[in-house]
Amino acid sequence: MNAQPSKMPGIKIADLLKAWVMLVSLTLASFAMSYLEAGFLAKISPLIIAVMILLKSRIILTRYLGLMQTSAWYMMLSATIFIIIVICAGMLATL
Amino acid sequence: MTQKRADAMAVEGPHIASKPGRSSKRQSPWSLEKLPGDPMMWILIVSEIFVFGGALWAFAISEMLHPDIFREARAHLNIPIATLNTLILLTSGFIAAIAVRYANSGNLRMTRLSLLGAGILGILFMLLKIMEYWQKFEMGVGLETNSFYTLYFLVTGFHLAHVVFGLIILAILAVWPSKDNLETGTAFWHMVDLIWLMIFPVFYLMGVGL
Amino acid sequence: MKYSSQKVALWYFIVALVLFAAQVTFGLLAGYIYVAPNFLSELVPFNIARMIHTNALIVWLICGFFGAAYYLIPEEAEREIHSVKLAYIQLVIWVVGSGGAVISYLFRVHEGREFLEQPLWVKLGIVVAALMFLYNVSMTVLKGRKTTISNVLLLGLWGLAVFFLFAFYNSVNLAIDKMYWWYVVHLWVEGVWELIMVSILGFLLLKLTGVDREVIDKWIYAIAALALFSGVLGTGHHYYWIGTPGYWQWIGSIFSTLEVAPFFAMVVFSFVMVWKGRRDHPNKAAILWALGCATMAFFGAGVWGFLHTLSSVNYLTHGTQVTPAHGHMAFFGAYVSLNLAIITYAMPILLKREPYNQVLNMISFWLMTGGMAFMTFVLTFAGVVQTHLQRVMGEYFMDVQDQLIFFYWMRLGSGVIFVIGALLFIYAMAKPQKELIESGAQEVAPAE
Repeated sequence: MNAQPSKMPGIKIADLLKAWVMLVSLTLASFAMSYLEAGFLAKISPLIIAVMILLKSRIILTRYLGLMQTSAWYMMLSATIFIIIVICAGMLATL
Repeated sequence: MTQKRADAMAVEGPHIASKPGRSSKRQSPWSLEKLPGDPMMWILIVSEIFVFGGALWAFAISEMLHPDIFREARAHLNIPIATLNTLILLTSGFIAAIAVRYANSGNLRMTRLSLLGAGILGILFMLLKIMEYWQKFEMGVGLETNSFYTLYFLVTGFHLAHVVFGLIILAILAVWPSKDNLETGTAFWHMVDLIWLMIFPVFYLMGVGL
Repeated sequence: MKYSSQKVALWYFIVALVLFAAQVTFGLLAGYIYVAPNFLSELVPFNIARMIHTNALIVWLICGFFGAAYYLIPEEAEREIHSVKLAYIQLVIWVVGSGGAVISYLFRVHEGREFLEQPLWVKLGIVVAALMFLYNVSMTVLKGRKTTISNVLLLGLWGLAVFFLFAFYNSVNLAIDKMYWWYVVHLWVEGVWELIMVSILGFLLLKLTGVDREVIDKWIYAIAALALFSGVLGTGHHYYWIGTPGYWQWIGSIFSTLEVAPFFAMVVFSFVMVWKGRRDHPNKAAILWALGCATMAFFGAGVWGFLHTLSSVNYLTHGTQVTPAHGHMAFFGAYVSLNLAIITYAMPILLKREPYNQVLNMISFWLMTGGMAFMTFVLTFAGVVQTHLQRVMGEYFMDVQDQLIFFYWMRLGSGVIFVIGALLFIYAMAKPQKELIESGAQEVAPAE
């Protein structure tokens, strides 16, 4: 498999930058979410954060890890991460 | 012996076995071939996600069993530093991804420079993490204090060990920056990133405002 | 048989099968002592019978691995074994060592650490034999063709020898003693032996199904990686209650849960290869054993292992009959079946007896597998009842044992079936078959 051309899709640096901006904003947003003290939103904040993690992991899987042409692996990994996090969120949200 | 009876035949999928006349090159969607980098890295990535995922479940279950211990302990977590660390790691991953692009276009100098940048941010992550541990040790808290801290030190410590190992890999990539090496090595670094993305919310963000 | 030096393997297999017969016989004896506790209590007390049962198992399995290596390494390396003479000297040391151990035990001479009871001179003999073996096969591989199968097999065999060295360290501190003891016991069966298992299984599937070597190689690497990833830190599941720090409960629980993965992968591996492969190999019994090996290993080691691996579960089940339930099926599935598979495949070739009738062999497979499955179920139920009565209700150990007698009788029954199966297997291997079966010319590519 060595002599083959790169299996990474040709993602432009501008796209990588866009991905980075998305990741940073999602991180800051989830950080802000955690400071909600009361109300309905605070109660379900773990679940919202879990969805943000899903988005972040999908960005990393496609843009950085280059899983664009292997949809089975991409779906499996992002689903696994989401299931792990959402179950944690479920357990922590109902506290 | 066995060769006398029937020689090895090319392996094709069962859908072809039923139609011997046809031959096509359909690959399994789970084939390791099309994944970037070395296939073994992907076995590792999947295994790591399962291990850390299991640890996070264990953490959440423990929190349900001992809410008081966890509430008290969570109050001592340094969330701003952890958030900063998340940003640092994400940026480091971004620079590592850039390094792959430079390597693909054959620009060795910029490849090495990007790897250096990614590495420096990795070291920064490490230092902040050690600082965070130091704060805990100064509080007199250790690995055996209670189930919160056992899991906290185990999970973040395992992750930190991966960061250190990732730094070694980045250094190796800087010495031998072939295309294949970069795809495999940076995949490990992105995995470290991905794992941290899972740890960070469960340890630091969830359960705080409750 | 392509290389004349492969013949060495025949003698290793014969010794292995003799020890196998001894192992199951003493197993039957131990099973009978469970229901009639005073039986032979002067001559062969339970601890001695158990010692021979477990030690003979390990010794015959390793002897089988040696044989398997001597059989497949020449074919893989495409050259004769480095020194045939050395291989025979090694076998003599092995036989003297194992025979010596059994006789020592019968005269109450042993070192008293579970599974590592061998007197020191036997342990040294094991090391000498292992070194001779490793030198011999490594030289063969180094001078010949290097394949994934032989590389992974050698890694496993070297690991087997290296980790055995911890058997010589016997600390007076019981916690430290136990800690290193598991370096041998756990890192063997849940670490390096899995490498041996996947490479031998890979070799068998390569020969039996005719699937491309590249495909087999990838599976072997992936499974070996999974085995080491989960198995090394999975050692933690033995460190729950021996005086090691509490964090091992988390490490052990999480990593040992993942130990199911390589066994599951082996099931998928073997079934997919047999499904995809279009070679109609006449040795159907070997295919049966190979598939049975992967399946029973998955249930015995994987499922039954997971059953009591979480520290919160193990807190209650530790040391109950749940453990032998797991132990019996795991060893039978993973390593006994593996050895019987390679013996089923190689023996007829070594004896130049193919094609031949394997009905007896296949019957022995079902007898042994069925007997073992029944034994596992019975012991599992016994273990659950024991856990409840002893650990939850707080009844005394011996009072609980009295209430388990029904299960022990059924276990003895399944043991009898198993021993019949084992003896039938040996008979099927030893007896020349008169009846031939035609090699399959009828359908190369089966229709759906």
